[in-house]
Amino acid sequence: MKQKKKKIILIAEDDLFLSKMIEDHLKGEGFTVDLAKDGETALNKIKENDYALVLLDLIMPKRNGFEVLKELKDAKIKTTPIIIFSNLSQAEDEEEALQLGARAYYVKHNISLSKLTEIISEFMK
Amino acid sequence: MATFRDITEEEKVDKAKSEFVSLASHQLQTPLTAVKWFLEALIEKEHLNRKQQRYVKTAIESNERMISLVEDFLNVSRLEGGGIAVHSREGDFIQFAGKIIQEAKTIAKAKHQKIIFSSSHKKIPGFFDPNLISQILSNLLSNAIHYSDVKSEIKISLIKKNKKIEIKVTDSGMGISKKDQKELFNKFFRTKKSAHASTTGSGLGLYIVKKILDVCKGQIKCESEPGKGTTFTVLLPLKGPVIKKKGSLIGGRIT
Repeated sequence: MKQKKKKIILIAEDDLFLSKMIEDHLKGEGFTVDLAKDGETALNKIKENDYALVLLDLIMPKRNGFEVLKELKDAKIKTTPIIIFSNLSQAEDEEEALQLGARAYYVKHNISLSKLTEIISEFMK
Repeated sequence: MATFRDITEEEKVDKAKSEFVSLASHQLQTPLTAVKWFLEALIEKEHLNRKQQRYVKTAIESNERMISLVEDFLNVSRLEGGGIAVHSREGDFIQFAGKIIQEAKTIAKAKHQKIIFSSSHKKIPGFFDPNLISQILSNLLSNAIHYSDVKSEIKISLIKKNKKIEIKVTDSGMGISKKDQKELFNKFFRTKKSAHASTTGSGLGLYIVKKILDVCKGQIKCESEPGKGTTFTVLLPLKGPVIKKKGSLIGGRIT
């Protein structure tokens, strides 16, 4: 538990409902979280901080998730693990995101929040 | 001339309809996800009594149906938008199909059905689009599960035929009349019998299957006898077509 608290997870999600749910859920599991409501904020926050993990949505205002990945390419992306958490379920979206350096790709409506905790815990080890 | 213009008008309207469906479906996914998560949290974290649990479980199931319906709508609008491209990659078809069959087995378990799998070879390597072909397999399997009785058997066989693969899915379900077989692949078509037997089913599954097979240059046929069961046979080329995707690596080689 103690170890978890030191590490911060960034939730980049524009939908307030979903963002609040993920936030509450992860806080309840003992994680510390930070929020970004659009791609540009996410990009700046990732550049300025050392997050243990980023949950990145793909469809977002200002900058979409793909653009965030592209901009981070080669620099921050090697040290910050980014997991895509999106409702885009096409294989080519997944392929593109992984090629751009995302570590994993999950479709939101296919997984439960408890499954999300498992995935995150695995990454935070 | 007049006919020609009418068709283009119709196409325009169709395209607009498709775009609308796509937009609406994307918009629906977010609230459906929220509902899913809240209901799951309710069942996992709160101490509900049996009755409450039953209510929430039913709500979860209904929501899952809605999620897959929206997926179907999106798939249809993609297929009809004409923008469908085949992204084939090299792989072992048996291993690929194995995963989908495994998922189907979990669903079949709820109805105490058995899925029996057989194949002509241990491995059937070839080029295919996993995203599109998985939709074909899971639609055929879920239909077989859905339209046959509890404790029945469903067979799936994969047979290599030169550079093609033959996929056969056989159930011992309610069957389809000759007349209905002709309309089976039409959009929103449901046989009277199936519509009366259950309200689930959008009439989109086989339409999607047919559309995908059209772009993959495959074929499908249906053999059935009412009351005895149905066999769907798909013949699919395992040799592309490989379509270029801006300089990306497909199947380990630059296409």
